[in-house]
Amino acid sequence: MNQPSTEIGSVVIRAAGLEAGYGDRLALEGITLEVGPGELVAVVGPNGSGKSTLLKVLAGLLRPRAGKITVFDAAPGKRPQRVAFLSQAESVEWSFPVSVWDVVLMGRYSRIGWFRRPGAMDVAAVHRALEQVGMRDLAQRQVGELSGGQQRRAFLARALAQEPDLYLLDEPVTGVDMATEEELMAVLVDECKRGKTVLASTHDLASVAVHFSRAIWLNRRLVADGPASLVRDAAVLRATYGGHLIEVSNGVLLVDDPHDRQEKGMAHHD
Amino acid sequence: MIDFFLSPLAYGFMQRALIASVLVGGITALVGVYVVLKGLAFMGDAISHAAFPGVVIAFMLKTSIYYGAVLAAVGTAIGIAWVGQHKQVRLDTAIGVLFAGTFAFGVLLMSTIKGYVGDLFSFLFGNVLAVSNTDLVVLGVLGGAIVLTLVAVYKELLFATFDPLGAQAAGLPVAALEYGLLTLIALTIAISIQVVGIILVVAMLVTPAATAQQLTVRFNRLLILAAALSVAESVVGLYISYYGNWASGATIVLVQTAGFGLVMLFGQRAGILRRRAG
Repeated sequence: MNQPSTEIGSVVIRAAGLEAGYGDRLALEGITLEVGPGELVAVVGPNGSGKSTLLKVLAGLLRPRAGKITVFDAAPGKRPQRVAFLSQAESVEWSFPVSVWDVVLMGRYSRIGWFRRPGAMDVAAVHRALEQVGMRDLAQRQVGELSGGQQRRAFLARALAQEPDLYLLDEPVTGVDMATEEELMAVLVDECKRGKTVLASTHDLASVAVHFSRAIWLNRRLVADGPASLVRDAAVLRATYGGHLIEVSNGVLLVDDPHDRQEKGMAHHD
Repeated sequence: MIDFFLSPLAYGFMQRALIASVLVGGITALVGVYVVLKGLAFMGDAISHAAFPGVVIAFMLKTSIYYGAVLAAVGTAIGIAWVGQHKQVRLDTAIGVLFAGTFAFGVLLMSTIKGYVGDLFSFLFGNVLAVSNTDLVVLGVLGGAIVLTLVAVYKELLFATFDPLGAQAAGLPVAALEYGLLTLIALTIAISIQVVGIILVVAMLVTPAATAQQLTVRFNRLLILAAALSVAESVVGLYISYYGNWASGATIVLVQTAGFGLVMLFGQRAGILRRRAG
């Protein structure tokens, strides 16, 4: 489904002077950013730093207050087929009577279109996505019966089934165990090799250095934007995490950033 | 035994009552699945009570009560949805205010009519035995439109109900779907008033759907099961009310309530007795 605008050298996301917030609260300001095809970008910062806000603006779910922003050369939200969004888990009613298969199939809806039923291509895409996240055996399971990690995998499969060109993932691997995290990151790396772009927020700084090629450091403002190896730069960590930082001897910095909102996910490992 | 079912059908009013019960039972259950899943029971109650002044005005103007019921119910549903999208007050507070206010207005209007007690009773509690041929046509047309709409936007409505944020990101007009669903709920309530009345209609929306919810975890089966249960319960209720000479709407609702109680006790998913045994 690669269209001309995803060729190497073109720009997927372009933001200049972006400002966004909720009510009286400004969550993001002065964000200027360019992301190209094939990039695997970590969005890093403490709670309340604007990670989710940035992803929501890019997905077209929150209108920016100021600044210019385009996704595939259009306003955010204008290319729903090409952009997949994975929200933090809390927004879904888990007791809802849908199976894993139903959820993954929802990823195809924007391609299927109104008043039409899923076809053979859609069924094949759902099979492929379930295979990629290792959930074939659980396809008929009701979503509420899954562990927290399995729920994350099911929603990632929904994004994969959509076959988008840009993935906007809010904490895709929070709450999954180490082995699953490795598997899912490998899937995302594969997608990037095929020219897809991935923006994923994360709390896991160790994983940033290992898996990502680039990291965006947020603390309401854009603190730093560069190679993932910046995770070893004390100045960047200080500027991003401020008071959440504990300095230990021998130049070791500890980041104390509890992500309490993800407790459910943490409690139910696969 | 066969005579037990056939002999009441010798009467035209009973034939019409049977058709009306089947239609209303099926439609309320289908729409009711969304009401239960979205937690809109209180909203449904408010819409039906708000339909009351519409019904009374239509009655005073000597026109079909459906006109008044449809206008008042749909207007209230859209008004509540608007408040929900522009949160100035909490939604349940807004519903509470509208609910009592509009109903009081209906009571006030009703009290200006001389000798109103008999009609008041049938508006509040329904009278399926008084369904006319015209009523059946309205029921068939509006009911058919409601079911066709639910079938046409089946997958979009499922997505938007389960995961509104995800549906919006996927490009679905979530707000429009929300207004549309509330309009369907309001229409369903309006066409059900003749059968079960304003006070009891919420039970037909909620009870069969809640019963079916205890029996399946698949959305498509939930819709079919809720509709089948509700139709069967409505027919059983109608016959019991005929032979017992009891209020028909109340009897249908009580049969549905009994069905819910049985499933709570013996059902596979939530059965209290089964859980203890297991």
